[in-house]
Amino acid sequence: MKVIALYSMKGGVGKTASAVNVAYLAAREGSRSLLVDLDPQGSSSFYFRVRPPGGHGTKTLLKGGKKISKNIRETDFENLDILPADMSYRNLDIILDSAQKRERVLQKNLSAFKDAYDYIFLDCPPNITLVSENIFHAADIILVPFIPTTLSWLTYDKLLAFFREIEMKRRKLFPFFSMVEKRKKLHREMIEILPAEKKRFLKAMIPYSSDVERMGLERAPLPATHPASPASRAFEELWQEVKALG
Amino acid sequence: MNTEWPAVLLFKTAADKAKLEKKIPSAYRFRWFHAETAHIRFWDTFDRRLEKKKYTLYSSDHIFTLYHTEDSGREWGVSLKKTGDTPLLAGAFPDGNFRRELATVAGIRAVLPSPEIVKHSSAFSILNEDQKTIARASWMVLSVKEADISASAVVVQPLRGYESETEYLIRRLPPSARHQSVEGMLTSLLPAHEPYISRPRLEFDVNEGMAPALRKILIAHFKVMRQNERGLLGNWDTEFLHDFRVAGRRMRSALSLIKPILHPGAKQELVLTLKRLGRFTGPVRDLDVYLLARADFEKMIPAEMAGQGFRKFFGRLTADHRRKFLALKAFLESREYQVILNTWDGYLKSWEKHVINDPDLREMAASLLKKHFKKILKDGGRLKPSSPDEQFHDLRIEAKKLRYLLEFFSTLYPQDIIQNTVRQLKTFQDNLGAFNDYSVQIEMLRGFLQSAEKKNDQDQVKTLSALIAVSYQGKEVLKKEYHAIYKAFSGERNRLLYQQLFGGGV
Repeated sequence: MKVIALYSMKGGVGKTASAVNVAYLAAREGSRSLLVDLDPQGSSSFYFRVRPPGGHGTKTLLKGGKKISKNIRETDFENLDILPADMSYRNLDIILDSAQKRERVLQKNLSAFKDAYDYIFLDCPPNITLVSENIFHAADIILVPFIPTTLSWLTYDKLLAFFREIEMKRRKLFPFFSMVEKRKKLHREMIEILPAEKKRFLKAMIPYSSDVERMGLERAPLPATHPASPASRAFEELWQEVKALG
Repeated sequence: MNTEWPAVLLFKTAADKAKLEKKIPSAYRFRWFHAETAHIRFWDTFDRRLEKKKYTLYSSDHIFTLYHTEDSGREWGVSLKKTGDTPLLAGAFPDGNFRRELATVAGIRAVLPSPEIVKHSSAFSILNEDQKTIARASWMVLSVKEADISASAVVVQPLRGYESETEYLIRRLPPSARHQSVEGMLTSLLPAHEPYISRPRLEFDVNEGMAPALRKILIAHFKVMRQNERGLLGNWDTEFLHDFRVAGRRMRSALSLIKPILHPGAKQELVLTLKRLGRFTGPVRDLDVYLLARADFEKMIPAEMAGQGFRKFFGRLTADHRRKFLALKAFLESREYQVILNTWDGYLKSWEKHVINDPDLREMAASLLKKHFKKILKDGGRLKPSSPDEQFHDLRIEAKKLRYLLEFFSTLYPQDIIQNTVRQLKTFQDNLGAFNDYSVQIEMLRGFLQSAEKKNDQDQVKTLSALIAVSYQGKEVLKKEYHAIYKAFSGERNRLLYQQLFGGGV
């Protein structure tokens, strides 16, 4: 089982779309996949038409094992399950604070699924908190969507600094360009400079696409509804690259 | 809440899919997909070996699926071009895992088809108000023409996390019986099977005498004969004739061993009918045995002695078998066979009229067992490796009589004792039986050898001479082994076992 987190300190960078589409592509290839919606806004649950089950929330996620298992929902797509978001995730940090080995609770709970799934994808909330720290511990690979702007650069540096501070291996971090608009000069320049600066950039780039925005209307992964769309193809490239990371 | 999924629901009265949809709350809807029709049959041997060993075999159009009902990992599938309602031997399927598994379970028996179930099914999804699929399902209209049955059913598999919501919807459907599996639901539509036991285990009323007990033995075995008629006539597999023949032999033994009960005239008439039947069944059965053992025969002789001669010889056996089988078939379809059946029917119905003696059941059973056990000890003790073959044959017949008696009256005695005695006797019989097989085989081979010599067919002369030599050696080995086997059979432990059956000393 591999745990892959989609993480960014910034909101609106294409985190959820990437999580939904990449998880779908993994499942389509026959890998048993679970998408964990950790974002209290529950966007990835929404994309799969799954509502949060009553009674499930922070406490369940901390209890782990069977309790989590009970809340897992099968999506309409073969091999793809989802653990829906719950509004009470807002309180997750407070509860984690009082837990023992508080930065490794998520890692421990997800390990219960090591036989049930080939991949677990974590759609993460946009902040740096104890929840994020839990995610960093639990994930084998952390994918960071990166809009080619200077602001993103600063944010990413902040993340690297945080990793140093908590003595977390930066090897796990894999940024990739997201919402790329080639007609913008800044985007083109950033794409040219950045990979040379920070050598860990993935090759796949997700273009800015109205198709991705329409996912909210169609409430389904993009490659399932628009397989020929350039964005779909970009997500496929991304997934193939991530898969090859081992 | 039921946690067994999928839910397989067979509606108690005919339902239709439009009504089904109306029973569901308006927030939900069905999305219909493709429809298909399949022709399904379940297959098992006449003596239900698959069912007994917890296997299910069914065909859906030309695809056959065999699986173990308690081990989901054990499933085999195969496609057969020509399928219909003809019984199939394992050898009819393409070589592979499916065939090997079926051969292990069914042995030399053919699998027979159930009546055909025609299944029209339409796949659909159940969606909730968010248009999220909560369950996948299949609507089925089923009919069994041969049994004049029609029914409808639905199979529902909720998506993970939507079990209780699905259960809530299921409760709103028309009344149904919930089954464990689709196959189980389908077989519930089929007519019940008449139970078949080749060696009936008979319970007697010990307050009654031996006369009603004998009648009971004959009725049970007459039924076994009749149950095998159809498969025998259809030549489905060799076991129909075998069981038919054994039942007849056991009836004949019962009549001649348990006496005097019937008026000698009645007894004579009944025995004669069975003798007459044996004239037709015996030769076919002998040839069946040789044909089934073809591979063993081939292994018996060196390769240079086999080859062309061996193939020719088996070709003759096959042709001979066909001729004799057709004669047997003609006999079973003849007026004469009808008369034999009517004769038996008549005697069994008017039984009391022909009874001249009705001794105590337990007493007579005990004295019969004692008499035949003693006879085997006495005759068997006299045999030496130099004794003529005939004496071994006679002893074999005696052992068979004792075996039948033990089996006829088995319920009168404690089961562990009966099982032990039968086991001991079987070892003894195996030696004598194999000896007899060799003798009969040598006789048969000599006949073929003579005719091959006349035709100057050197290939066959070579093969047959080799087979005779090897059979003769085999027979002599058994003769030598006999002494040790007799010693065990006549030993103190076995005698004590029999004493527990009939009391007193031996």
